[in-house]
Amino acid sequence: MSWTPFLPDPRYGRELRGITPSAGDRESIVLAFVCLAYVATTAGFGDPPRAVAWAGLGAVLLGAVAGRGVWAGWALVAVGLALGIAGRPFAVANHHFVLTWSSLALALALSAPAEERVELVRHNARWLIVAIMGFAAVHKLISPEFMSGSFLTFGIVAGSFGEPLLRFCGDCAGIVEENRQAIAAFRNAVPDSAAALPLRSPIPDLTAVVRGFGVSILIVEAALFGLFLFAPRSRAAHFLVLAFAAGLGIIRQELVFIAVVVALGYLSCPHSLRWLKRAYLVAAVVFTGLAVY
Amino acid sequence: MTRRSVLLFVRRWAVLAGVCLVAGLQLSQVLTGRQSSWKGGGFGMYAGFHPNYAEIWAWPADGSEPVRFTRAARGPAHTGSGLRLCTVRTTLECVERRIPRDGERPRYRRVELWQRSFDPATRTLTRAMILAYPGGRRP
Repeated sequence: MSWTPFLPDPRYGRELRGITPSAGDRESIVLAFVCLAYVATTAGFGDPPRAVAWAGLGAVLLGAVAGRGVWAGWALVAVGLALGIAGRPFAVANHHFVLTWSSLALALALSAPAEERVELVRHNARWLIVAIMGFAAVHKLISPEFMSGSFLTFGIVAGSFGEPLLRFCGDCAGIVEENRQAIAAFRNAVPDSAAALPLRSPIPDLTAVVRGFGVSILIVEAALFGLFLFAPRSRAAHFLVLAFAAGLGIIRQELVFIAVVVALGYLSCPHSLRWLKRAYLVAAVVFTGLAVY
Repeated sequence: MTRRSVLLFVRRWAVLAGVCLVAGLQLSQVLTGRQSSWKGGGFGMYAGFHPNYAEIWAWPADGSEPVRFTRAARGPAHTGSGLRLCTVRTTLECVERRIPRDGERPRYRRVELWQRSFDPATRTLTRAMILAYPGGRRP
């Protein structure tokens, strides 16, 4: 079967009326490319697990071309990524876990009888988004550093957030650079709990900006949690994922994580939301490409 | 219950159950102050300072100047032994297990883990020690 996820599927009309048996298999290739980008570019990932994940991704792509056995490839990817976690489970980044769970979900879903696959892929992708957003919001709500504004304020004065926007803001970039140099010098000195370093704000009314920023983050995460919990097939849910990805891309370039979330959104999106499905594809290609670049 | 319905149940809910188990465990570790929210599968990124902001300082047994353990890509020396991992897993056991040794003897007489703190009102950065070896966790 010669098919690529980036070209229109000749059987698209049939998919709209019913379920094409291998649709879930083929859709999973979007996540395979994100996985590929992650495994190829990530550092600090032991060689044997990476080799297993490479083999699994090769099997996924070959299986998609051959029209069978994709689930076994995903099982191998899940094993490879899980081996990467097993060595130091508490030190592995969260997007590594998301990819591992996603691979396992695809292995389970795509090993099902053909008529159940698409629904299982959608179901698992949906619940992964619910879990990610739910836990992310809880972590922020229980964190004194987040709720006091300490973390976000520091992120803004140190230039960790909204870096692309700084160039449009007068002297902001200069102030942030001064702050960064002062922080580096402070950090290199032997620590002393009495020492304090005052930093300058690059923007006026920083307190109000931080408050709005923090509340917006919580609202978006709670909205994604709620929408995917109660209305996973709605336009609002999928539009919000894309808006979240675009916003995150501007505020903080966590490109692998954004690509993973977009791929999960794509997998959970019903074919009836045709334009959103295509928008997901474009976003997945863009963010995966940027992550590799 | 048929075999098919059991399999369907597993395919629908096994991953979510696994996610909740791991993320719940990680969350409990974060709540007790032993784990960074950024790592470990609990999806707590951007809830607080990244562990890269934490600092490991060690005082050599020979009495020379204290050194800071840095990440390999960002600092010159003192990257070995995995002691940096203790900025993520903030427990005394982590330091005890990873402190470099010459035979049985630790190469450092004292190791401290410092975390930064930032007052948003005055925009002032300070540092506080949260763990010392030998010693323990500070309140």
